[in-house]
Formats: sequence, C-alpha cells, structure tokens
Amino acid sequence: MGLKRRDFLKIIGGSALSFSLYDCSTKNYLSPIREKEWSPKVEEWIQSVCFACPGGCGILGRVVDGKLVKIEGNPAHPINRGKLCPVGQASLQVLYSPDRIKGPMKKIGGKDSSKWQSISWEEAMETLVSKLKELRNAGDSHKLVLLNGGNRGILSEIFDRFMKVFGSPNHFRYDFYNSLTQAYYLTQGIDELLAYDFENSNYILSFGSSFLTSWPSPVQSMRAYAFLRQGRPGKKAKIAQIEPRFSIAACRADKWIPIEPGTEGLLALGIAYVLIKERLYDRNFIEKFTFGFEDWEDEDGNSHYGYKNLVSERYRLDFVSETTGVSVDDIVTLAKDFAMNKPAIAILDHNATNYSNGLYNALAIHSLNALIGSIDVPGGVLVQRKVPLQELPKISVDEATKMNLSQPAIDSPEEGQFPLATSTPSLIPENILKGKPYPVNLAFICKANPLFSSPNSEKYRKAFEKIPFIVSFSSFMDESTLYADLVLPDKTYLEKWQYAESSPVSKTPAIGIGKPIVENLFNAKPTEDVILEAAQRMGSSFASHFPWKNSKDFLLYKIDTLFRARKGIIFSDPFEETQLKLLEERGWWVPQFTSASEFKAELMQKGGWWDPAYSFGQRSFVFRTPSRKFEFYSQLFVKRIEKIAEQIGENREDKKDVIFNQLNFESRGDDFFMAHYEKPQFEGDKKEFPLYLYIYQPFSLTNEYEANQPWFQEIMGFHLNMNWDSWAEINPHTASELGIADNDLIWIESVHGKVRVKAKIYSGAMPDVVSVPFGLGHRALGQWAKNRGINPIDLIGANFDQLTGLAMKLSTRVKIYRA
Amino acid sequence: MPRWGMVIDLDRCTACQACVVACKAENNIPFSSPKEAGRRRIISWMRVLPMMEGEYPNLRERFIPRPCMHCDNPPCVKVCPVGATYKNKEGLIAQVYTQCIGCRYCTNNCPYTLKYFNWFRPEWPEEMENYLNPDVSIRSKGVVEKCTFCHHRLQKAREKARAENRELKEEDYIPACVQTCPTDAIYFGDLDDSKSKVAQLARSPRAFRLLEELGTEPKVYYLSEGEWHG
Repeated sequence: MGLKRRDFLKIIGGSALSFSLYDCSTKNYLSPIREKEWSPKVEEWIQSVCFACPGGCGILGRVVDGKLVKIEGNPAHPINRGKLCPVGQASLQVLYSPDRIKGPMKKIGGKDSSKWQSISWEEAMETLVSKLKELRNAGDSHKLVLLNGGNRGILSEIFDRFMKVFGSPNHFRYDFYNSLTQAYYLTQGIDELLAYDFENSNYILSFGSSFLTSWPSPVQSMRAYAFLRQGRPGKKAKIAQIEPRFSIAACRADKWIPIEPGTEGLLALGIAYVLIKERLYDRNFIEKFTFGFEDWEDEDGNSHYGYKNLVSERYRLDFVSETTGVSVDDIVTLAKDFAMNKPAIAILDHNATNYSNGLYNALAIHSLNALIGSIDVPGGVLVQRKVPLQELPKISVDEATKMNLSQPAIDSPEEGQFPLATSTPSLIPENILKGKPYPVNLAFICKANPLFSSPNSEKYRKAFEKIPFIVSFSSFMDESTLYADLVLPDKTYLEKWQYAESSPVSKTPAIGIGKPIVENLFNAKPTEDVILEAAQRMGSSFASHFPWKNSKDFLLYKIDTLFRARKGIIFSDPFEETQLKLLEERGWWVPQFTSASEFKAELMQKGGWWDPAYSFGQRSFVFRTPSRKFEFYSQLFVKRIEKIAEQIGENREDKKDVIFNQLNFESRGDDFFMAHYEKPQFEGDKKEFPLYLYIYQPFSLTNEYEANQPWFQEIMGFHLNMNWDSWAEINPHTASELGIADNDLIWIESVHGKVRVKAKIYSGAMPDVVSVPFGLGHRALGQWAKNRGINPIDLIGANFDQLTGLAMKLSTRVKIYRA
Repeated sequence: MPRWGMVIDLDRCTACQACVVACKAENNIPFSSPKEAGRRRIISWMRVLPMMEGEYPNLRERFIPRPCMHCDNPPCVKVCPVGATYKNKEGLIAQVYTQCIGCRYCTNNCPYTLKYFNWFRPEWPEEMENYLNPDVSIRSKGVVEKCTFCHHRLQKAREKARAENRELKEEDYIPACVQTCPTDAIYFGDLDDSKSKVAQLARSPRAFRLLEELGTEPKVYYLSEGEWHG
C-alpha cells in the first residue's frame, strides 16, 4: 500500500505548520512583514485597568518582547471577571496607532498656521510654566480654563487640585448624564448615577437606555443580561425596551415598544396611572419612604397637590396613548408586568433625557421605581458606597488666589437661566466670544474634543481662535488640538500608572490598579506627571501642595487608607469573596493582613480591592432629601428655585415668575416640582421638516478614538452591512413614499444645515424617525477617521435643556430627499 | 482524541462583537480599506450575522456569531485540488497556507461562506506591526484562510501540558473569542466527552446547527432563545 497523496501532504504540511507557523519559520518565506532580527520570545502578562470607558474593567496585557500583542480581561476583577468588550480588546489600535502625536510640539507661524515644530520636553515644560506664571503674576489666574473630557482617577484629581491651587474656578467636565443625575438629586438627594441591581431583578423596563452598548459599565451590564437570560434556571427575567429605534437593547429585549421621541416620560406617567388606578403600587413603601404621594399640607397650612392625584387626573390612557403612539393595551401590559414581576426596575440613560423636557422624563421614569418600592431593595435601584480612598491634604492658598477662585466661572448662565445647572459647558464658547464675565487667556484641553462633539462647534472654533494660548494634552491631532499652540501628548492608559474605580452604576465599589504595560513608546509623557512637574516649577508654596513625585507616588498615597477601611477584600478567589460577603453583611470583618506594607504589596500584586457586601436599609444614605424620603414633590427643587429667585432681587414671588417665564414650560404650580409631562420642543417646523432626527451611539463608536480604529470601521454597521461610512436608517414605508431606495445617497436637512449620507432601509426605524449614528465625520483625528462619513451634530443647533443647561441632541426635526 | 466543538447560546449573545475584535487581534487578520470593503473583501474569521424577521413594529432580530463550522463532513475539503485544506484527527479543518494555490473552490463550496480569500496584500503601518501575534503566521495575498479555533493555542497548551508532565485538560485550550465573550455565550470543548459542558449543551432541546439539512455535520452548535413565561 503506497502513501496516499493526502497523507503525503499531511506529512509535509504537518499540523504545526498548517495553522500557525511559528515565528521563526515564517519570517523567511511567508511573512510579508519586513525582516527583523529573530529573538527568543519572552512572554509576560501584565495587570492593568481599562480606561476606554468608565466601566473600570481589569485587564491583562500579553507582552512579548516588550510589545503588547493582546489584551484579555483579568479573571480576578469583579467587574468583568476575565471578560472584555470590543472596545477594550481594540485598544491595541490606539496604543500602536501611527496617528499618535509622537512628541511635544509647538505651533509656528501664528494662530492660523497649521505648521508644527517638534520641541524637547524641557522647552515644552518651560513654555507651559512661563505661561502659567505670567497669568498668575498678573493676578489673572482665574483666566485659565480647563476643558476636561471625562477624565477619571489620578489625572482628574491632580487637575482638580492644580486648578484650585492655581486659583481658577474654570475646570469643566462634559457630562451627558447630567439630567439623569439631577433627577436623582431632586428625588433622593444624590448627585451621581445610581446603581441598578440587574442580577436580582425579574423585570427590566428600559426607557431607551443603551444598557447593552454605550452604558457606563457595559461588560458588567452584559454579564448581568446573560445571567438574567440563562443564569438562573427556571427564572428568566423579562425585558421591555421603549425606544424610537430598534436598537441592540430592543433586539435583545422580549418586547420592543416604539415611542414618539421625547414622550418617554409621558408613557411612564401612563404606567403610573395604571399602577395607581389598579392599586398595584407598593403601599407600604409609599407610606414609609416617600413624600408627596398623597395631597399634603405644609407648615403654613397651604394644601398641596399629591403625585397620586396629579397622575390620576391628568394622564388618562387615551391621552397618553395618542401622544406617545403606544397602544392602551401595551401600556396596561407594561404596567401590570412591571408591578407583578417584582423585583423590577425602570431604567434610563441620556437617550430619554436629551429633550427640552429631559429632566421631567427622568423624574417620571425614576418615580416608577418608588411607586413599586424598588429602591434600596435587592433587584432594585441601589446606591454605591465609594471606595474609601485617602483624601488629599487641605489646600491653603493666599488671599489673591482665593479671590480669583471665587470669581464666577466662564460657563455662568444669565441670572435665573438654567436653575438646576451645576455646570453648563455649552455656554463656554459664547461667553468666551463675548469676553463674559472676563476674557480667557489660557486654555488646557484634555481628552475633550468640543469641536467635534458639541452642537455649537462653529462657535467653539471662533472661541478657540480668540484664546491667546491653548495647550492640548491630546494623544491625537483631533479637531480641537488643531487650534492649540502647544501640544504635550499624553500617554495612553496602557502606558501609565492608574487606578480605576468602578462606575457608580455598579452596586459594589471596586478599584483596579493599573501598571504601565508598555513603556518607552513615542516621546509622550503621562499628563499626570506633566502637571505634577509644572506644579513643582511654580514655586515652593505652590509645590508644597503637590508632595508626590509622580503618578505612581500619588496612587500609593490614595490607596493608603484601604488597609484601615475595615471592610472589603483584595481581589481573590470567589470562595473567599463569598465568605467575606456573608460575614460582612452580618456585621463581621476579619483582617487578612497584619501590616499596611504587607497589604499594599498584595494589593499591587493582585491588582485591586473591592467590597462585595451591600448594606440595605441605611435610610439616611439612600434618601438624602430634607424629608429623608423619596420625594415625589421635590423640596430640594423648591429650595433651588427660591435660592435663585432670591439672588435675582427683592420681591420674591415676582422673581420666581422671572424664572418660570424663561423656562417655556406650561406648569407653574406644584406640578413644576414633580414628575409631569411637558411637551418636548423640537427645532424645525413640522410641515417643512416632518421627521425626527435620532442620533445614537453604536457600541463600536462610543469613545473618542474608535473612529480611527480600522477594526471598528469594519464592524460598526454590521446590522445593516455598512462599514467605513455613515448611514441613515429609514423606515421602508417612509422610504418608498419619498422614492428612496436602499443605498441611495440622500440629503438630511435641518434648519442648521444638511449632510449627504447613504440611506439604509431598516424595518427597525419608526416611520417618522430617521436615525443616524454619531462618531464619524471627523475632519481630523487620524488617517482612518478623517473625512469619513458625516457628523450628525452638524444638523443640530445649540439648544439647551431649560433646567440643566445640557445640550439636547435629539431635539431636531429634519427632512430627507434624494441627493 | 478529543473532537473539538463549540456551542453558542444565542439567548446570551448581545451582538457586542467582542469575539470579532478579539479574533482579529489574536489571528493577525489584516484590516481592509474602504475600497476593499466596498468589494466585500473584509476578512473576519468570526462574523455576527443579523437576521431580522417580521415587519415594523413586530420585529425579532437574531444575531448569529459565526466562526468556521469545522464540519465533520466538510464540503470545502472535498473540492480542494491540492489538499491545502483537510480535516485533522481532532476534527479541526486545517488550512495549509503554503499549499494553497488560491483557486477559491473551497470558498465557493462552503455553504456558510466562512472561508476568506486574501484579495489584497496584508499590510500594517510600522507601529501596528508591534501588536501582531508572534504565534500566528501572516498569510500572503492569494491564499484562502479561515477560523482555526485558535489552533495555535491548542499547540501551546499541549506543549505546556507536556512540559508539566500531565494530560491536556479541556480548560487549557480556549479560543480567543470564547475567552473574551462578556456574556459567556460561547462554550468550547470536547464534543465526545459526555461530561463536558459542550457535549451536554449540544444535546439540549434548544440546540440546532446551521444548514443541518446539507449533511455537513458542523461542530458549531447554537442554542435558540426560549420564550419568556412569567
């Protein structure tokens, strides 16, 4: 018997050769990659944390000969348990992007030039410090502005401290979730996102929330989703998604309810109506833990309207159904499912609040949780205890600095405008242009790119042109950095010392420690270290506030208190964690280590710390309102309005009207301070612009760099077979009425402008809604992002939520026609 | 001999595409350009196929992540004129890049369209060459490639087991997509080991395979979503 041909091939192929020719054997004849010297491969796994989104997952970097070749999830990290989302996986293409700024640069040839010159770090630092000193010596330290695009951890803290010691009140963060956190503040007195206990829930009523995609902690919520589906045998949770688009969350939900944009809050009120009429609400919870449900009398004997009567009188189902486009049957089913499958939660994110009535939508939706008693119970809405990190030493600055610190910030609204705003970054460009309240002399931009992501980008551009000196800490030459005078490129998170706390949407506090996985790549410097060094050079009294040599030193300082926290555990195996959880929930805690140094060494080695226990029933922690209850009628809201009214002038009652008049809301009375329905305002006349523009973020385009990562360009539009370009999702009926076919080029036009984009016929689009993904259409950033696709932000104007001053991205009407 | 197979739970999958990106990173898959993508020449060993049913507003969408099915009766092997693709002892469908003549018979004969031809020369900017996985060879233009179930990981796991003087355990060998999947939707293991998770799941009433009627005997099983009953 001779050798068969196939067997022969097997022998010469060999199984090793067939799949994965080892490096040594490939270089010569197979690999098109240019020859490099062969070296024995040394592989190591380095622990760090992911900063690609606010989730704070633990990662392990596979490093071979000093090069990072793969990122995996860290199995010990409780947030992601060894799992990782595509964004974390693809960070390789950020780290090794050829478009990264390779070293410090200064602009030559004046503001309008696009010529850059490489400089040394010494020269860069000197320029930076001389600009800072110049400003401070002139007594103008408040004229420094920092635009901070959602930095967290070490950098955010150092920046915050730097601005305070320097004497500038102008540290701005861009926060999408502001309307939502405001709703939590008004009802529960908590000024940050609350956690959802998905894993223990039986029913999730999601109002447009993208909890499977651009969520603050997506890996955790996806894991929770899988657990709800197949993790609890015989007990499968039900999910209903209410959204104007058939999104990923809608696809994965049991029921998709399309809804007219901006009426999410009204549907929530309709559901409340059913709960109240059918007496399905949690009477015990309402009685003990809520305020303003029944009609009530205040200290002066004035009677006030309760939430119960407000809802049952105003939100009859025929009205709700007609306005929201959701059938009465569906409303009743949603309400019954919600109340009868407890624990249940009503969840939302910025998709439901990006309207003129955004805050009221959030109030109405969150009030549903109170109605069925799903606050501070397993499977409901929880409040995360923070990681007990060490506070920074107190700042003591001189009088002049104090004076400058107390100056109004440059995002200050007009008197009485945006009564609930904590910060209104959307006003920055306008105020800079007007020189109001004072001109800006120096600006820092760090991870923010308002020239791409802000609706008033044209104004931003002009404002940037007006600022005498701009320093950018960006790693990429993005739209905003183009206007900088000095660029001090930051390292990516894979090259830095970091700590990442879990996002507030996680119920348990966790902190992951990140080490630099790759070093000596490009001539970039961690911005943390740049700021610390600048502080050292600012003079001894300034420097005394920054006793840390570098970011690692700062990190060690912050985690110093964990040893003494008397709770929590260093990442370990699930058995120990469960053990500790059980003990801690019964009031016990056993220390694992005898000395702080031993603890710290273990912490650095294991990569983090967390506290698996959650204590229920700490009422003053969960309800921080004046009544120490959930407030349907928000007394904090009343106080805020009164306070602002006082500032306006003498006659109080009258001045309140000044505020109301500015607000363009229908309500004036008690209902103003409660969840109720306000008609959403849209820009563009309904006759001329018949469609709503719905801008959404695909998972593959959730952070600032993704558009410049070829892997994401290939996969972002997978549900419509789109890649490397933008698209607009159009309902088949609407398209055929307008004579638009699949893949036709169309114009989308609003009062602010028009963009040309490919039409995709999508059954998951509502007939009067056209959906466009956000994230493409860059004019800079890098070779794969530049001039690719369109930016839907170009279609919207600078419209702000009347209460919070947040830009409303979904408040625009458009028309479409064939190009 | 183990018979390696995969089970993908569609009820857990959220179409996040972490598997897709992890695969591209692990296997040195070259990225396309808009021009090549326009000609449908994107290479993606793992692909998520969206399947929409119904009409607005009563829609159901299913997302099906698809690696190579590693068929027990592989149609691609039958047509390869040079033996560049064959089924090995453990049931994996191998692809010998040096042997492939680029005739694309196998890509055409794969009913799942999961074999990919290298239409363009794989190239990375110099900086990005740093992230290439040294365990996986770069394919040249003109050859066919496909999912290998991260076979190089099996080789490494075997070597490691041998060095530690023990038998290979099922959990030693995990493909990149399985490792990263945030929802644990993908299971991987020995289908012939009746105690293994995959073998048990493959017998589940929810289990099905793609185009089963063709008799290709794929080793990738899917678990369908069940309806909710309160």
